[in-house]
Amino acid sequence: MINRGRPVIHTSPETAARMQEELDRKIEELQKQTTNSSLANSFPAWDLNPPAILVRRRSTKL
Amino acid sequence: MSDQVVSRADLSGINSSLRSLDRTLDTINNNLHAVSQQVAAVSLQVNAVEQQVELTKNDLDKLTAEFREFVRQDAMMKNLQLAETRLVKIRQELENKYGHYEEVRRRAIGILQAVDSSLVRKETIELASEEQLLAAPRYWLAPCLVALSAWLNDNRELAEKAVIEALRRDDEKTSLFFALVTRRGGRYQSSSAWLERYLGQQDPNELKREIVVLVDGFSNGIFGLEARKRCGVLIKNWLDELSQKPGFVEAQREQWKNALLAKTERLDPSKFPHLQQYSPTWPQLQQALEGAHLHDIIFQYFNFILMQEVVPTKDLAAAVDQLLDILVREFDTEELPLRRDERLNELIIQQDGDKEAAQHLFDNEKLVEEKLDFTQLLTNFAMYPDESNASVATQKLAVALSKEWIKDAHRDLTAENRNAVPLDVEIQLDDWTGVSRDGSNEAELVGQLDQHLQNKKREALKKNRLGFGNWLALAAGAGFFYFGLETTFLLVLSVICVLVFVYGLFKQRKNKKNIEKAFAELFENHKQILLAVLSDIVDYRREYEAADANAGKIEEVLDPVTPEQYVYSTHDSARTVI
Repeated sequence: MINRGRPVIHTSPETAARMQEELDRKIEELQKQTTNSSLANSFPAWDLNPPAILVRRRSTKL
Repeated sequence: MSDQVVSRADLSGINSSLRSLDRTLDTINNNLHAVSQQVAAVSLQVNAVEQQVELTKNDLDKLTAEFREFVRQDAMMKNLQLAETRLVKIRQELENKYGHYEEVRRRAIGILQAVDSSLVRKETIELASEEQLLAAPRYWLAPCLVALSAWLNDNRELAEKAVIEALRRDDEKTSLFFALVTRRGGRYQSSSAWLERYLGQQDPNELKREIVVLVDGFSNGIFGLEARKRCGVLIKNWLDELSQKPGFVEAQREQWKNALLAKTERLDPSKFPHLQQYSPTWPQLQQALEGAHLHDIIFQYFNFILMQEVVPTKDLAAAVDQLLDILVREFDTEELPLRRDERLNELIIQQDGDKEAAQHLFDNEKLVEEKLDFTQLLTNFAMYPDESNASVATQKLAVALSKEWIKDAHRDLTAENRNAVPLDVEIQLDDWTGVSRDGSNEAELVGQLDQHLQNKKREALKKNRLGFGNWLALAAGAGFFYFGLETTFLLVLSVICVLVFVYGLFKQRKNKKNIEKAFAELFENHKQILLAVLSDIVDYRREYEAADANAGKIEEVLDPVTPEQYVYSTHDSARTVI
């Protein structure tokens, strides 16, 4: 499980940006693969969003 | 001589009496024999009775067992009949009160499948949904279906109205329903808004198990990039809120300390063999060194998690999708008391009326419904990913969110470990004890060991002296010689006594040499061992120092990690955890 040989790497800003882009690309790819195209095509152009009213917390012990 | 004549005695009477007595004795004997026979007969009868009693007892035991079994069976049979009757009644009640809910659920599944496959016209779906709304006036799922079908039919006004009604009936479930449906339909912006609304209603002290899948889902981007960012920040707020609870921070420290300590690895048993064998301080030394090695283990563990690449998988998307199925099939809160009764009675029937076994199974099933504490979830995600089914992204998020507690717990462990390192190492060689701090006092210890063995040698030599017998032999020899100058026998005795004394003297000298030799060997041997132990101490101190120096690496690896970075990579120089 643990790879003791690998050093701590302080990623440079450029590498971080590249990794983020790579991850974004993977997520978008997965989104395409896991979206139900039939359902997606049935929806009209507008989004059904929740109303912007204050959400009440179910319960709290605080 | 006497002239008296003694006449013959007449013993016939006595004879007669004796004969009579003999006859009487015979009679008694016969009677005794008869009594004995009767006793034997009675004994046989008693034995027979005893056997019968034993048989009866066995029969009775068997009967009791059968009776008890009968009573148990009877009770089980009654339980079974009662459970069957109750089940019918409960189901009737469920049918009367919530039958339409079941119908709505079936329709909901049908509608979702129809929508997924585009096999049914949108108008039919809308009509079916509206019918359900009329049939189930209090159920949250009915207006959800109306809203969904209205949305599909581009009827915005109706869709929004239905959504308001669904939220009024059950805000939490409606929010989750639309978060999942919109995700399935690829409307990620909307999905993110619904998911945020759902998470916003959760109590971080009592989370449902589905939250595990949802956290795993959004942290892997299953709900889109926007949700990854927004929900990550939202659950960070949960922690800020939880942190205000009195004693919370201390409890977290303790929880993380235990989780970190669980990573401790046993020291290689072949290391420091002389210390292990000759130092009574070894158990403390061993524990301290294992604690020092823990720094590197923890560092490697977190470094490994943070360096791994996040690869979102289809399985995660499937698990999130399955939640929609579960949500739609789930019983409503209103139905739950009756549904639980129904389940218990089903289990009683399944267990043939054994209420105890059924209750046990029922309690086990209820355990699955138990609520989870969010911080415990984070610890599980970060430290036990296999058991908690946490993906790499979720592990990263958990580490990022728990960073401060991990650091605090690690600081505590480090301080405790440093305090627990023994300053002085005790060395024990037979009955000699020495102390070394860093193995540098070799000459001093060798001197002490030498002194100790010299003292012991002196004592041994002291004991190796001529005994009283030897001195007596010498004195006797001298005496016999003085008095035996003219007697050969005494002269011979005198020679023998002197020989005994000389033999004793010879033996004492020989023993002295042996003792000196043995102590010289013992010193050499102990000195070698002592040097080996001191060498181990030097190695131990070096290894401890090197291992302890890794303590700082934990903060080095965790400091740059922030939940914000986790959810959205920044362009600064800090570590990225994407």
